[in-house]
Amino acid sequence: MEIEIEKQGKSLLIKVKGRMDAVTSSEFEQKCAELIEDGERYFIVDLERLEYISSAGLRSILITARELEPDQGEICFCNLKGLVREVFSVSGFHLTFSIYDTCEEALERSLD
Amino acid sequence: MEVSFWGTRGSLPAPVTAQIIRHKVKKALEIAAAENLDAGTDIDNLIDTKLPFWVKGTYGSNTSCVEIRDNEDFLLCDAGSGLREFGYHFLSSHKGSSPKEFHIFISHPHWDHIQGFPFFIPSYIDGTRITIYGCHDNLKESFSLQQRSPFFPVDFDSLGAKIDFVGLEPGKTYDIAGFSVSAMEQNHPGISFGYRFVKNGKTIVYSTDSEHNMASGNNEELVTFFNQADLLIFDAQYTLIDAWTSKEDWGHSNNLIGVELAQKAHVKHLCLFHNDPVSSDQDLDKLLHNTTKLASLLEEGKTPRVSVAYDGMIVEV
Ligand SMILES: [Zn+2]
Ligand SMILES: [Zn+2]
Repeated sequence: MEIEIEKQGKSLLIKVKGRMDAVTSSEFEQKCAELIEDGERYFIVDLERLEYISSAGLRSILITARELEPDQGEICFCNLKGLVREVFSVSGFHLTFSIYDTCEEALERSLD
Repeated sequence: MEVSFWGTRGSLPAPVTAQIIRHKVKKALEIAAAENLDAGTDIDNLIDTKLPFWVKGTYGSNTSCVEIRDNEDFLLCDAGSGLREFGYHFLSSHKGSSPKEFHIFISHPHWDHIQGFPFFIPSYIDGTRITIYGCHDNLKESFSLQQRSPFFPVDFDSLGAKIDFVGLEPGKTYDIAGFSVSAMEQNHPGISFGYRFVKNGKTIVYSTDSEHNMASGNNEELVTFFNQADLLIFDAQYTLIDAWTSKEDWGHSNNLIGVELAQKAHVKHLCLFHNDPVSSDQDLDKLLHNTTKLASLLEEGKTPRVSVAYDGMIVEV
């Protein structure tokens, strides 16, 4: 799994590439924990190039969301494709988190 | 070997209403009209091929009771309200035959898993033998409590059948009615136990009321218990997000974890069970559709066949 981070105003655009499974998802969780530690509060996660996500990946997302809660932080997602879109919908994640078709849309909304 | 589902609903019976039936009839008529139904139409064929399950049927409302049938022996998992249905079926199909022996395995004494017993007619018949197996202490106490005044008019100790309670220990293997049976402790309020039944190279695992949450990551033990099962009956009452957030620690699992565990354990047939009482027939059709799709997308291991259990479903193993 590869993670790229770009600062966009008060938000962070986090691009995740590859797989989020039992082996790799702790990387995502740890990276996000560090960013929260550094004071970041608004995460836009671009999943365009995420090929695979298992329940372990969803778990790491949920843990990150919980860590953001006390400081009114937010995590949202954009560019869901194929299997990732399917897993989000089957697991009920699409009803719990804000999901945008494009990063531009996500950024626009997060500026409101 | 045949597995019959007499009760598949979780928590409490959730019967359909007149309004729900009307909705189904309306939908069926709309579909029939679109198919140009007339006097010459093969109606059975129309029902079989054109109507979705939620329109032509229902997942049912009885609580947990599953029969594993092989030859003369009657093995049942749990004694929810589906046991009443099984009792009637048994009596009508065995008219005049001598009383039989029933082996009932109890996952845990929550009410939805024992509430059918007072309505199990064979228990009132002299000469019937019933053995109730479980890993909880004082199972007998739970059974007799629900038949004590003022809850029920017939005392447990006055039933005609000879009823024995046999305690099992998880991890050990027992030879019961020709099956090799083992049990596993599961994460559930008050704990529950799953059962693995093996006979003639066929394996059936009954694993209901079991939560697989963030804290209980001990998957290896589960994968071993489910290993190579021909049929895995799996509690999938909630969606994953509910199971991990608002309904955390409520003691139930979800379809995504079911698919992942079934794939890891090379299960052949994953049967989602303990259907949420708030789920409509339409919701459960969708659950089946989504889970089947998910099983084909997630890549670990082989794709199991997926079904959502309904009252009256029979699976050949
Ligand atoms: Zn239950
Ligand atoms: Zn229970």
